[in-house]
Amino acid sequence: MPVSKLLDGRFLNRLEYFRLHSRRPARGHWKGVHRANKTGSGMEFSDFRPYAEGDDLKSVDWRTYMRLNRLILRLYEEEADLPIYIFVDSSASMAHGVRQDTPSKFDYARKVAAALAYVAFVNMDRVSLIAVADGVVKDMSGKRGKGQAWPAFEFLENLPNEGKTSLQAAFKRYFSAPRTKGVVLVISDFLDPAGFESAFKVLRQLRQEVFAVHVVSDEELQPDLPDEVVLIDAEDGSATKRQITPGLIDAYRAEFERYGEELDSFCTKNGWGYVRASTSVSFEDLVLRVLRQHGLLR
Amino acid sequence: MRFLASTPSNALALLAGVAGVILLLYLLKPRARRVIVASNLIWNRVLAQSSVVSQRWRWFLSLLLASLIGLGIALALTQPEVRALGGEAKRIAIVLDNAPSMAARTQDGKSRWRHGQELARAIVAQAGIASEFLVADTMGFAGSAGYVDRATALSQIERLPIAVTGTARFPALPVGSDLNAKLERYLVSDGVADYRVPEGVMTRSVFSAADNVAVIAFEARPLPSDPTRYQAFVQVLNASLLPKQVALEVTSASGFSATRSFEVAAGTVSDQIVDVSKFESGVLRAQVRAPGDAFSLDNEAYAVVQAHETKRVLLVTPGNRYLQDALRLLPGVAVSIIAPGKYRSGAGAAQYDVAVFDRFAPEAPPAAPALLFRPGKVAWLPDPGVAVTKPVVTKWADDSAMASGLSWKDLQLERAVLAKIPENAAGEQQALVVARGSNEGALVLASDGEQRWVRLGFALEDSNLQFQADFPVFLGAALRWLTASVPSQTRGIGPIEVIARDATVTDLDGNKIQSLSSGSRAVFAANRPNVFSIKTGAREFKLVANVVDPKFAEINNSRLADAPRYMPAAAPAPVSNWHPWMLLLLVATVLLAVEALLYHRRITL
Repeated sequence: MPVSKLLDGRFLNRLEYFRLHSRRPARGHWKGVHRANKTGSGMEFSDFRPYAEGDDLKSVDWRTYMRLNRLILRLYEEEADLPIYIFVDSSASMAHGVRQDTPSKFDYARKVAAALAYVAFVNMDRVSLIAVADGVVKDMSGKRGKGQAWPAFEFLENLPNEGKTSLQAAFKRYFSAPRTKGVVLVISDFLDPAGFESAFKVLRQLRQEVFAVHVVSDEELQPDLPDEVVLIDAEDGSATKRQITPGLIDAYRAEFERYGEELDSFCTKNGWGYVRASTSVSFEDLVLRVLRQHGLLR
Repeated sequence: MRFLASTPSNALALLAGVAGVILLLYLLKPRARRVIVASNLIWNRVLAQSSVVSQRWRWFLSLLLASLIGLGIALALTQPEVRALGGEAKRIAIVLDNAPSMAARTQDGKSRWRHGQELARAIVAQAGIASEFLVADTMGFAGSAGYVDRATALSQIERLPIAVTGTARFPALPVGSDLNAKLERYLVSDGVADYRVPEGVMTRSVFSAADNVAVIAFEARPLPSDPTRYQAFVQVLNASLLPKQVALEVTSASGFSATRSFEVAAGTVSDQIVDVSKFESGVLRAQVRAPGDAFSLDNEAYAVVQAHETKRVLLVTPGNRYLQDALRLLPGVAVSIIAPGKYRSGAGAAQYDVAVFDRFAPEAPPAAPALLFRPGKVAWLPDPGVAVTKPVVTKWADDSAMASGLSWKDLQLERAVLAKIPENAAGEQQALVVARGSNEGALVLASDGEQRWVRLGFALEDSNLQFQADFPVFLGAALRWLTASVPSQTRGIGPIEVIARDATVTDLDGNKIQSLSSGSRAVFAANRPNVFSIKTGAREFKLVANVVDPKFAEINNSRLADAPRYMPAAAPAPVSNWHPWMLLLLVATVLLAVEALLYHRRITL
């Protein structure tokens, strides 16, 4: 039974068995399920240390005291929540890619964002949803708990799909306010006239852990164009008149692949995650199989 | 450059028009489709690497291909003459001499005719590929197909036959309507047949001297002194340039054989007489053999020998020296002469084959068939009718053997009795009317009923018949008709026409020969010396077809004897067997395929 225009209930039930994985310790301020980089009241044993005045006697290891006649404290890892920043590209270029049996890149991106947000909500992570184009279009920041999933779905359903792309401007704008370091999920086609590097450099400076979901459509992978064509850019309306030849099509495909490889290479070099999501691949397959293979979901 | 299907100005206008239209179509570009893409980011990166020159190159390549295709097709339509490729286009008339002498074999074993055909084929092969040919012959066998292409001309040359008889003549050649084409006329001949060759005709000789020994006459007839003995008379001509030792053989299917060998000087005739008395009757074949004989058609001849028996004729006359002498001179006839008073009526003439009554008729029909000159009125003959003076013969039966040998127009009569033609109750004539008089009475009547008779309504004294050269012929024909013995006829080879209605013709081997019937005549072809049996109704006779013209054997009597033989390989053949327009179409088709391939691969526009 659909609980949202984006996801149905059965799929949401399957998502509840997953959690978002971060390679770094969580820096959340609230209790969560992710290992933090400080000792505390978690369940995982971390270390021993001698008792000092003022320590909580509940942490004293009485068995060691009986054996050694010394007060030794058992230390446990702290478990905190994970700040998740999900950036969804809502620029006009994302409206493309609709074919008979495939959704637009924007619809596909919203579904991915909803699924990842739901997983985060289930695991008590702090989720921020940010729609970006040539800046921050709309955001829903810092929500926790499964109950926030439906407002988040509504937020995603009501996003506009227009405007130019400027990821750099959007990241700068959003992180101009103090934000806890967490996982930044960027779901976009990355067709940014300024290039993806400048935008990602902003995130690198902020030491955010990034996972890029590169949404591509068949229209981009296998363009079907007439011989004589004027190519109109959906975002800025710029026109380019060309004679389309098989050689040119082959060159385009090669360039498109190169662009994706550059993106992948940049992310890998920075220890980030990257996955290419084709709209022709089923959304469920992407979330349940591909993202698990790439280590984002566990 | 010549154009075979157009004038040069029209051809150039067509080419210019085609080029102009193609260029115009390429300049009138269709408007480019506008397609909205997600981003031009990738496209701009691609386009920054591709050059604009390639786009222009594509346009020019497309224009070039389209122009070549269009101009190729247009040029093919004009049928240009490319001499370097297909040679010069001409209009060539080839007249092949297919007179009988062309059948003579040459020293290399081939006939003159085969050489002539090879030569004609060489003329065709060496002509330009776009040339047109007219194949004709001197004997009129080739149809009037007009000017045809190379393949048809070669086929016509191959199909032409050699004639075995007839008169050769140079045919009238149509010039044709295409004034652009050059006309060349060739005659391929051995120069033996005598005909006038028009001015401007290039004669190609295939003559080479050949040996020939021929039988130019062959006849078997009884000796005048003894009609029961027969002699064969054979004339052998040596038409070779050297003396020849000739072997003559006279044979029959029943086993008769007589051979002899003799030498015949070059260009002379040798008369040979062979006693064939031992041969009872039937067909005799005379054949000559000589070393190196190159012409076989005239090496044999046939003759038919009648049964060796004498016709016994009783002449009952009051006295007629001309009639007596004429009967006595007929071969194979023994004449007994009595006066009318001594004739015994009834059983008279019983021991004779024929009775001839001159101005007399017995009361009772004779025991033998009767020939009667102005008989009196008797019961067994039809009513003699009325006597007339100076009657004129108005009609005679051409298809009658008796009538055909006499010149009836020259017959003059002082008086005659024109008999009433007897009819039966149904109105049908009961006697054969050989000749009619001026007032439609029968002058000569014949009956082949129970009693055979021929009745002439005039006496010899009252006519000039006995003075005519044909009189013995008429007498002989009448006697043969009365005794129902039909002699053989002799003709030359070639088409033969005989008086025979719905005739069935068979040759010596019993093969049925196709004949064409027209009224009372039949026509068939004798391609070699042979003996034909011609059957029409109950009547059957034999016809001998021999080479009767001595000129037929003169195969070395050529007006081209001193002309050099033409060597066919002298001129080069065209480079290609394809017409230039075909090559143009082929190239255009290939280019069209290339263009389709390039367009499919988006290389051209």
